[in-house]
Amino acid sequence: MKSRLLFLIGLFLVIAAAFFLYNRSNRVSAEVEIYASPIQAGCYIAASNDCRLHVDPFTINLATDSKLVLFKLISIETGSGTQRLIYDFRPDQSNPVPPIGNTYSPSLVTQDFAATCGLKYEISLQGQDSLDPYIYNLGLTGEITCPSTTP
Amino acid sequence: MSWKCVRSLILIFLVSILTVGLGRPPAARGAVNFLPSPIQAGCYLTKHDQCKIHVDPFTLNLTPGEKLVYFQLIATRIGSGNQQVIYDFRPDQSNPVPSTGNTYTPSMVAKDFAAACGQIYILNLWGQDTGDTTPNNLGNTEQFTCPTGSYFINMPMINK
Repeated sequence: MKSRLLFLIGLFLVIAAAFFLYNRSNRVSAEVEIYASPIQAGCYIAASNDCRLHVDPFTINLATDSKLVLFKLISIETGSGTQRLIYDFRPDQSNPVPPIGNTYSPSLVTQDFAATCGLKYEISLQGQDSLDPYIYNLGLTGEITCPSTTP
Repeated sequence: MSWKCVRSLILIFLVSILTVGLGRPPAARGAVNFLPSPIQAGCYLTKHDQCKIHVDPFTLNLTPGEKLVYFQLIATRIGSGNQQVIYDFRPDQSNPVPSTGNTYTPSMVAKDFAAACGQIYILNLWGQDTGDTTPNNLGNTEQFTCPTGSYFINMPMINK
């Protein structure tokens, strides 16, 4: 009787462990493959009523053996929460980046990004690599305040 | 070794610990951790009626182990004393710079900074790192004067 009880407890533990491991391996395969890619940015006044968001050079960290599908820069306006796409970037369809390695550093845009003077923003970098099922948030700046007037 | 000798050694040891402890500067918390970060800038004419402030590339010197919280460029107009933030910069919330080392060199903005022609300015670099309780003035320029745009007036006229 005692040995049967022990056998049943052991069986239960084995089944529970197997279930846990199966569940865990499934979850891992659906987890994010693209890695955190920090982003830093600021807002400046370029001319009267002309504010610009400047994003410092950043590097997108992809999973090994994956390619970049897309990345986006989104401005999030503080208060209203309005999200605006300010940069939508797509690599080559046939030969996406990176050709080698697992990082990609996009070049800087030449005019910086439009912004409204006096408003506050956060800048979000979102992206997806070829192993990801979704687009992920890769980095987010602190709250940036755009200047309101010419000094 | 005699007991007297051991006692003397213990006494010397305790005194030296106390001396080293007292001689140490106060804890860094609350003190200025951000080190001076020199800044140079000038003002130039972009159109006959438009001036811009140009800031040379600069490097933020942080205390080892600390991260950047933010930096700002502030233009002060001489005469009125009016201060205006012209650049507000924030690093990544989860992974702030620098990733390694204790310096950060921001990239240059593409369009330079707005300014009023004919005015005199001082430019300040303000910043805070994770070891600072308050922002600090890290560097400031001498006074510089924005041109008045006279080249438009002096342009030679062609009359046919």
